[in-house]
Amino acid sequence: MKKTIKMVVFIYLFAALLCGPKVFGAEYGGHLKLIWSLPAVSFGYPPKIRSIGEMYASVAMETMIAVDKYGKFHPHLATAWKLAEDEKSWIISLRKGVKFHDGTDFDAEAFKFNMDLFVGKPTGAFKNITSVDVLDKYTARLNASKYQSITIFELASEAYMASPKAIKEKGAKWAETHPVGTGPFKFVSFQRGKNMLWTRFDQYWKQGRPYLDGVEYLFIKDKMTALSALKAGEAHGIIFALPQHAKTMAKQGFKIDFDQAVGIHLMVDSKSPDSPWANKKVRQAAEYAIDKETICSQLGLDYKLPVYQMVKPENPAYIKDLPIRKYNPEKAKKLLKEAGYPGGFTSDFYYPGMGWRDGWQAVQSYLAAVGIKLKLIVIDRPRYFTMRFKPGALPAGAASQMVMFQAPDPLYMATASLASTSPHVPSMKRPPGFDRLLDEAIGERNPAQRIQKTHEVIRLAHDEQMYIPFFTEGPLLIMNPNIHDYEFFEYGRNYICPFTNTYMSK
Amino acid sequence: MGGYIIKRLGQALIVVLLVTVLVFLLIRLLPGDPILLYVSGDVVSGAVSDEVIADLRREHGLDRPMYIQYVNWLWQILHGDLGKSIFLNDTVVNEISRAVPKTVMIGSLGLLLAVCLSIPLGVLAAVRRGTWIDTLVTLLANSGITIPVFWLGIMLIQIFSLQLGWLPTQGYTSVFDDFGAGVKSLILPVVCLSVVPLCALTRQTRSSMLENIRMDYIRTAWSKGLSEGLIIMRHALKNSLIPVVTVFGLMARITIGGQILIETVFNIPGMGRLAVEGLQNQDYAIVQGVVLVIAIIVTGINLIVDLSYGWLDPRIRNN
Repeated sequence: MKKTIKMVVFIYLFAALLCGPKVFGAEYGGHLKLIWSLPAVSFGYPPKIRSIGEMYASVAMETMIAVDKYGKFHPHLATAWKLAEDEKSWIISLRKGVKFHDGTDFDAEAFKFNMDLFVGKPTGAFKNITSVDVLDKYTARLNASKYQSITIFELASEAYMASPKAIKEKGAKWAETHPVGTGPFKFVSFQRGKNMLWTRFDQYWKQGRPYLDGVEYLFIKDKMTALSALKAGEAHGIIFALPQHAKTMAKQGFKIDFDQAVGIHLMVDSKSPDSPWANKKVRQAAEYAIDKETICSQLGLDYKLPVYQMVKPENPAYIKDLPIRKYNPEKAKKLLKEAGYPGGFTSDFYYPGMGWRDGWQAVQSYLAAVGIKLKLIVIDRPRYFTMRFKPGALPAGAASQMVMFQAPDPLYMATASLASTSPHVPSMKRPPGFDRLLDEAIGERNPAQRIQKTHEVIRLAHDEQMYIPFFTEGPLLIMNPNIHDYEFFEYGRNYICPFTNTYMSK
Repeated sequence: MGGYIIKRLGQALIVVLLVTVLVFLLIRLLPGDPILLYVSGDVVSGAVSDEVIADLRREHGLDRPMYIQYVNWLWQILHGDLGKSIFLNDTVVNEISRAVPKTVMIGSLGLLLAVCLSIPLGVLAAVRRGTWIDTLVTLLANSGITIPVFWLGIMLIQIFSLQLGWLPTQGYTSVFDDFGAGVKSLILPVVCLSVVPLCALTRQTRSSMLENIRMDYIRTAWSKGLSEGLIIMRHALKNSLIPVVTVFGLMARITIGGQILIETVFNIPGMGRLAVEGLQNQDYAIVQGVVLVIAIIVTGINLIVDLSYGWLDPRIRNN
């Protein structure tokens, strides 16, 4: 008996040691310092929080629902959500006992205030929501003009909750750079080009969280300087590191982690009738001609991954039996011949200076091998964005780089980038019936049916070769080995990280 | 002298005005639309309507003809307003006032260090011509002037920050906020920035001194029995300084214009970085504001250099 007790105690202590702070609570404290290279402009006023701003906002502000990287929804500030009797609107139950950083309560009135910043405004989100009703202190109703399944995803990705008191008193402009949310850390200060500081929020609703006393983002644009700062111990990690730096630091015991948050593809002028790219077979030939796997492995050092369809393999909507177009130069030449370009053709290719030069040069070589001669033209960001969004800005017959965020919900991605209502890539020919198929999928209530319809959307985009998929990439992290449970890739929304469970070991 | 100063001030004003016209036109001739770039994130999600884009254009005055935009900008400048940044959510005056102290502090300390070291070294090399001192100084000056600043910065970080751990690798702390940390954060950028002007001024001082110490008036001074110190400092050096001052003026301009490399390597949010980021975003107001301030500083330095000729050589003053 004594022996058994000793054994149990020993196992408990051993397990406790392994579990770290969750058992002992010994690893509270510490200020996490991370190096970022991207500038932040707006990260506190909910309708203006987007892409890069979201990375900063998510430390201090929270959305109603959490979505994990597999696209599964979890209660967060909302504890439950269900369709109302009209089968269009949603009843949202709110978590009790949640406070904003300024001490005010998070309740249905606060939820309504924040949702009213979106409803009926040109913010892009909640287009189907007509109004918000407060049913009681912790229940609200989102009234909708029609059922849309992506409303829940929007509650998980767009609806950051800010203190109504702060916005009313200080104004929207102030709020853009002063997030007052319900998150685990309170915003302290932001100095452009220098740093951003947060401190622990003691009244955070998750018991015992966060572990850290504070978080600091250091803004260092030059990658070599960032690496030196990490080596000198001035920071615990780099968020957007270079692949070669990651390889070097991995050998020195640093943790390396990466995600595939963004898809980089070729967008072509398929709309102009005279453009060679208007022929579907030419676009298909281009995909067959590029050895994406070799490019990603040799030049991207395996931190960039080749893609052949709209979603990542771990996504429930991924189509395993999709006839993908792997590297096959012979097939590419055959398709070009069938398309009436046996000798190939010449096309200008515009890409931004910040783009992956080596990768595009490799694409140029592979395409040249089948006869498609790309003339690479580096352009500045304003011109590049103009080509991406302004009809007619991409010269006829030309091609460029396309960016598509890898949201867990492919329908959200398709609506944002591929639908004809999207201002994205105006040079892309949208196949007939694509919008209708997308609408049907978004309006589908049955989950199994929804997946099936999503597959149809993906198949149509693939069959018609609306764009030429290339690779996915995301933030590449180099992290000090004593930092644990950083949550960068836990969520399905770009790369948000509230550091709720992050802790430092001695 | 007063008339000379007024004349030079008038010329400086014309130069600044020409610079404003040039920068105003050139940045607008670049292809691309800054407003479209600014709202690009919102465009992806369909969050921006054409009306919103038109409102933004109106807010920044970009909906008007170019000549009216220019006149409005000049009018704003006369009222101490350099406009509003499209991207940074703040006025250009605020952005520049945050960046200028860093650039001026590092630039002026770098030039001061260069002047304090280069003149004695140049004089010493000239006076001890042909000795090992002259060989060493000449060798270092000739090598130093060819070193790329960014490479030197990385090497200094490697040695003093990573190997020895004495100094921070990056960042800027104001000496008025934290004196110790401020001094530490200044050492590497200032040393790095001073190397090229230090070497250029050393070379110029040496050759200028060599020319002068062979002159008849120096021989006369020796024959009168004056001490070496007096001959060198009072007679030879002062007469050797005119070309040195010319090179100093040139170096000051290069230092101010070239600080972007130092600011990038040492992660200092100064004027150079502000200008480059503004240019990358085609943030018209930022680029125009920064170029205007740099133009004023550079023409100011030119003015001081011109005036110092008069002080150094009475013949120029009298003419």
